[in-house]
Amino acid sequence: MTSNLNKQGQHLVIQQHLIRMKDSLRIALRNPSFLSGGIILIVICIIAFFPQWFTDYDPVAISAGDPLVPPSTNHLFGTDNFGRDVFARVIYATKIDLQLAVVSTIVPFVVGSLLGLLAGYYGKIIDMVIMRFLDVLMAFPFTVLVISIITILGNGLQNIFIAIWLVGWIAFARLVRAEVLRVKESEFIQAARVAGFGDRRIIFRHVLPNAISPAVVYATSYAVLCMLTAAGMSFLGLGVQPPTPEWGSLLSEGRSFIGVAWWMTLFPGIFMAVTGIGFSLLGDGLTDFLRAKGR
Amino acid sequence: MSNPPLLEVKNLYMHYHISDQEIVKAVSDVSFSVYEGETFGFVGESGCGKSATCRSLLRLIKPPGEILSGEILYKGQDILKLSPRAMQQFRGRQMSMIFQEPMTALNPVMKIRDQITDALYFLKNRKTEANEYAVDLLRRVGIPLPEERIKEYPHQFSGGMQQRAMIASALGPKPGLLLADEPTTALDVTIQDQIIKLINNLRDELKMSVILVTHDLGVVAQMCDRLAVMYAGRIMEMTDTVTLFSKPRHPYTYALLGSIPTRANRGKKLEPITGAPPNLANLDPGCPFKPRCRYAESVCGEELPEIRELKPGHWSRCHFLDKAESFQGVIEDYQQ
Amino acid sequence: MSHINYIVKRLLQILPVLLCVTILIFAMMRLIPGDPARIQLGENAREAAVQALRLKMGLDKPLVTQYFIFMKQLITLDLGTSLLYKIPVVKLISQRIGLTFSLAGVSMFFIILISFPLGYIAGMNKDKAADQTIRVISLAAISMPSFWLGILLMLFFGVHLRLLPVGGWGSTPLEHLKGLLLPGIASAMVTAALVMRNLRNSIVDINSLDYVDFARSKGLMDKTVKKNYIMRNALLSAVTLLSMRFAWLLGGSVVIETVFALPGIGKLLVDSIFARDYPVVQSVVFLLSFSVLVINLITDVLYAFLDPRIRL
Repeated sequence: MTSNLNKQGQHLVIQQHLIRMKDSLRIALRNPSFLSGGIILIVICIIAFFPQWFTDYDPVAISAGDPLVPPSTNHLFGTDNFGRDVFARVIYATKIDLQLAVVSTIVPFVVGSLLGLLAGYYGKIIDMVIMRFLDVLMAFPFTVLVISIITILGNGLQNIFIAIWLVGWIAFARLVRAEVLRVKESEFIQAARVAGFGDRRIIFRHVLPNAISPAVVYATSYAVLCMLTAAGMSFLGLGVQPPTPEWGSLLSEGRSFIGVAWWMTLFPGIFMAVTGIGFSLLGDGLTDFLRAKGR
Repeated sequence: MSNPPLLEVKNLYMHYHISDQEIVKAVSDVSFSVYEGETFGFVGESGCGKSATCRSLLRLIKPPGEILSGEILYKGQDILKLSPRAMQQFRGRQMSMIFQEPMTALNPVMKIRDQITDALYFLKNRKTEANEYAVDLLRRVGIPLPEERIKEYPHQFSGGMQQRAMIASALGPKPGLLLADEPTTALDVTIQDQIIKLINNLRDELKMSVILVTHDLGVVAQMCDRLAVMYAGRIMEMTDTVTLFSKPRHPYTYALLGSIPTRANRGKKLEPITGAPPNLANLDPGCPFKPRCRYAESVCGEELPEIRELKPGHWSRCHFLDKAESFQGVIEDYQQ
Repeated sequence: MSHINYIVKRLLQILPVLLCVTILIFAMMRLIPGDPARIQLGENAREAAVQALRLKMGLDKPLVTQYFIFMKQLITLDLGTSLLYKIPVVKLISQRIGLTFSLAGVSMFFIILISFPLGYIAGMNKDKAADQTIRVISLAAISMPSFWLGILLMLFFGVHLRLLPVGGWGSTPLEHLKGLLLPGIASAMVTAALVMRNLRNSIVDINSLDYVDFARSKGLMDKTVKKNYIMRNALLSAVTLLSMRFAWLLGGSVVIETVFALPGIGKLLVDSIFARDYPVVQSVVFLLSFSVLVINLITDVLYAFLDPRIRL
């Protein structure tokens, strides 16, 4: 009997959750920033996962056509110095750059938030150690820290990920810690503690949901930052190695032919900027949405 | 009171136009007069339009707020018709305002001296003359060691001292009328008392008038000559202070008086007003107090009562003023 | 007097951080695979020289001792010789650091030039057309890679209009300045957009505060209210952001100097990494992080002067 009631209760709770999620989604979709950012990113995702839908050219094979042909109906974005179709290279690069943005954000987001949560909630020694560590890492400019780590690990896509992961958690830890310190003092947490709930339950059911929003918003701008930094590294020759197409390294190739083939520079950059704008719009919309929800 | 009033407000309307669906009617059909040398009070629960009225008088309303219609006559001149430049010169010199939270009303990065002297338009020599004037002002509002404290920043002052400094700053340009928006609410009780006395003294010394906005009937009793009770952006009852406390003629006023300890209801149980004030964006056509009124009848929900003068100087907005007899019984019942 | 105490206190707080920075850099050099002495001298060094350096670096002694030797070299500026350029690292860096700081300075100039007026306009016209337009522009600026913007500027002003050099540093001060304009603008954009947003939001917040209304209610002139009450408070948070971004500009010089072929320490760092010129790498990384610490110190002191609420 009791278990039956319990089940019914659970069912109700789940239903309420679904209704609330539907409401949130409806409000979010009414926000123009969120909506346009979302649409841009969905299109970018489709391009990233199904590049073959958009072009028949091979992005890597060298003997595809004449070199340095300006944009035409045949080659939408022209061809590069090896005669490869620039449109195909830009399209096939999308996947790597999207990965650079998303994968390099998720790991620091999770790890940094967890550490910030621990530091903020337990305070004392854990807090002190993490904060002092942050102080030291903050003394290095972001790019310089990434470069230093790549120097140790060597060039390549994988090492870029590792370098950005090692650096990225700092900001998330900081943000979440500050929020946790604020939330920890609020009455509903005190009440949960008085009610005798365990730390784990309090942290994950009560503190985390109320402390995570600034980190979520920051994650969207961090994704842009990662994409731009990683592209910068590839531009310098420290990241993705040719002939693999990546927007940063495409720009670097274009830089050498700037006088004769502007199309090699313009188009990869436009794709990068549009993706970046997609993330930024999404973040802007999220900020508005969270502010409205907080009221 | 045979002299013409210093300030006469006629049928003032101020709305916040948030969207076409959502218009907050903060101030509706407000008319009153303030005479020279008197303190006029506005009382009511929070969100009833007292502060909005106050800010409208100085035209400090920001979009989406908008003064729709009405007249604000100061010494016979309608200040709603002043150009922005003329309005800027009107503020401070004629009418000045002090705010509820002294901490947020003072600029945190300017010294107290600069926040007093920057409004002293009439002094030629800003350096020495203005400094002396400011020190004198601070001494008048009761700040000890004014020569030293004038060099400090607001955060170095206590709450009561900040309030005094703000009063000094507002009085710097010698206004004829001081608007005081909840001047005591943010302060400790003992300091509240000092500030009340200070404002009363300054009013007499400087021969100015004061408009006091408060939700605290005790403060009203200590300071005001006449007052208006506001509810949902409208004046419900307006008369002199003694009459209001002894012979109130509006159900809302009874309710307010019944919710606080007074001499009249000593020994009786205090009765809080049930329910909450209405949403100003969504007002029903009838009397706004109807949902919380003990004496409401069907006509109250249909028609908004006009404000009427019962006796000279005593105004009230209720459908049943003519049934005064039956009301009177209720009031006396209240007061026994 | 209290200001001097404050500066001394902040200086003392920096020391442990600086110490940790040196430990990190020391660890970084030891983490690079291979013999540290050979790394310092390069692949082609003679065995005898490597042996001598091994002794000097104390590689036969415990790590702690090696660290103290490293610290001693750092303090006495005995940073070794560049493998690539064959001159002392100190001399190499001192030749190039001026350019990087000038570049950051030029960027700062453009940042302030762009962000202050636009942020002010957006904040004072909240939610109106001007605000919306500026918001969209800043969003785009934040999402764009600065090196791409640099190349586009180069393409337009250098290749197309032939007004400014495509890259390089020239030899006269005027040429120097011309050479810094485009990279300065390119690296300014992101920060300008961030500062602009910050200013806009501060102004919107401040506009709703009582002290602005109180200032108006005293009959102050509009100009005075805007200058002393709105801007003075809005600039407080902008100053902190600006200085944080100065550190960012130093880091960003790595990419932008490469784009414009400017011989500053950013390009030096990249070149040294490719050439495995590790004495230069470690010195540049240390120099950059040291600069960041000094900039943070200056900001804190400046902020304490600007905001009387900071307890000294």
